Amino acid sequence: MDYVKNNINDVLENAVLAGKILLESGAETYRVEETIQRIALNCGMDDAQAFVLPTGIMTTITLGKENATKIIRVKNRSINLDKIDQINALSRELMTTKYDVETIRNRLLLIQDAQQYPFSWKLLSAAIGSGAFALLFKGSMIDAIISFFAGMIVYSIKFFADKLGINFFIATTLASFCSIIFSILLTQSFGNTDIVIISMLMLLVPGLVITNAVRDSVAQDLGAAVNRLLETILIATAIALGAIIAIALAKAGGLTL
Amino acid sequence: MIQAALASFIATGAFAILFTVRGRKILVASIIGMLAGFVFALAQENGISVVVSQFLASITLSGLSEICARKFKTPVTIFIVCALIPLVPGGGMYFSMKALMESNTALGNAILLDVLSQSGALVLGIVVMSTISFMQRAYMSRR
Repeated sequence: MDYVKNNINDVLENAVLAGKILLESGAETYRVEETIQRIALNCGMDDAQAFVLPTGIMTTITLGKENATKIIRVKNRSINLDKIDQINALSRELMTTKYDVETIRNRLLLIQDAQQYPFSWKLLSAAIGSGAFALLFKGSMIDAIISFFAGMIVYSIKFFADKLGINFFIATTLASFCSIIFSILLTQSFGNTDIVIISMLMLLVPGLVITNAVRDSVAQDLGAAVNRLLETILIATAIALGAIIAIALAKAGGLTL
Repeated sequence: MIQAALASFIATGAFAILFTVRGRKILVASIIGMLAGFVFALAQENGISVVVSQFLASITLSGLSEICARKFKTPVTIFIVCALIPLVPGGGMYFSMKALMESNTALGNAILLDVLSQSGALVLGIVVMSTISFMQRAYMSRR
C-alpha cells in the first residue's frame, strides 16, 4: 500500500513537470491538458483531470480510492517551440509503449535543460528578419540595411529587459521607444523612416500569443483564450505607446519624419 | 511578387530561429511562409481586395501547416507561428497610429478599420483550418 501511494505522487510530479515545461515554452492549453492526462494514464492511473490556464496548472490524479492533487503557478513564460516538439514526441511514444516513472522523469529533465540557440544567432536572425521585412514592405536596399541594424537594437533591448525581469508591457514599450528614436536618427539624410520603423516593429508582434488565442478558442478553452487575447491587446498597446512617445519627442526636437 | 515571396521566406526562417525551431523544420516553415506571401502578393496583383487576399493567404498558410504537421509528426503551431508573422498588418497599424497622432481622425479610423478587418480575415483562415483539423482528430479517435 505504501508503494502505491509513493507511486501516485511520483506520477503526479512527472505529469505536472511536463505540463510546466509545455506552458513555459508557449504551448496551447489543450496540448498541456492532454499531455498531463496521457502521462498519468500511461503509468497505470485510473483517472487524471487537469485544468490549465496560461498562468497556472491544477491537476488531480486518481488511483482506486486515492487522490493526489498539485497546483502550480507558472510565472516565467518564453517561446521555445523545440521543447514543445520534444514533449510532443515523448507523448506520442507513450501512446504505444509503456515506460516506468524513472524513465519518463529522466526524459523530461533532459528536455527541460535543452539548449537554446546562442544569443548571437538569435540577434543575427532578428536583424536578418527585420531587413527582410523592409524588402517585403517594398523598401529599397538602403532601408533594408538600416532595418538590419535597427532590428539588432530592438531585439537586444527586449532580450536584456526580459532578462532583468521587467514586466512585458514596460519591456515592449522600452524596446519600441528606443529603437524608433534610433531609426529616426539614422534615416535623417537617407532612407524611408516609415518603412524602417514598421519592419523593425514587426519583431515585437506577438505572433505566438495570437495563434494560441485562436487555437484555444477553437478548442473551447475560453478562459485561456480571453487571457491570451488580452495579452495581445496589451502588447499592441505597449508597442503603440513607445512609438507615440518617440515620435512626439522627435517632432518636438525638430527632426524630419 | 518574387520579392515579396523571397522576403517572406527569409523573414519566416529568421523567426523560426528566434523561436528555437530546429533542423529541417526551419526550411519547411520558411517554404510555407514563402507560399503564403506569394499567394497574398498574387491576389493583390490580380485586383482582389486586401481582406480577401489576406484570407486566401491565411487559408494557404494554415492548411499547409496542418498537412506538414501530420507529415513531420510535430505540433502545428511550429509552422503557423513562424509563417503567420509576415502576414500581420503591422504597417497599417503604424500608419493609423501616426494619423491619429496628427489629429487626422478620419484617416486614422479608416486605416484602423482596415487593419481590424485584415486581422479578422487572418484569424478566420486559421480558425477554419484548425476546426477542420480538430474535427478530423475527433473523428479518427472515435473509430
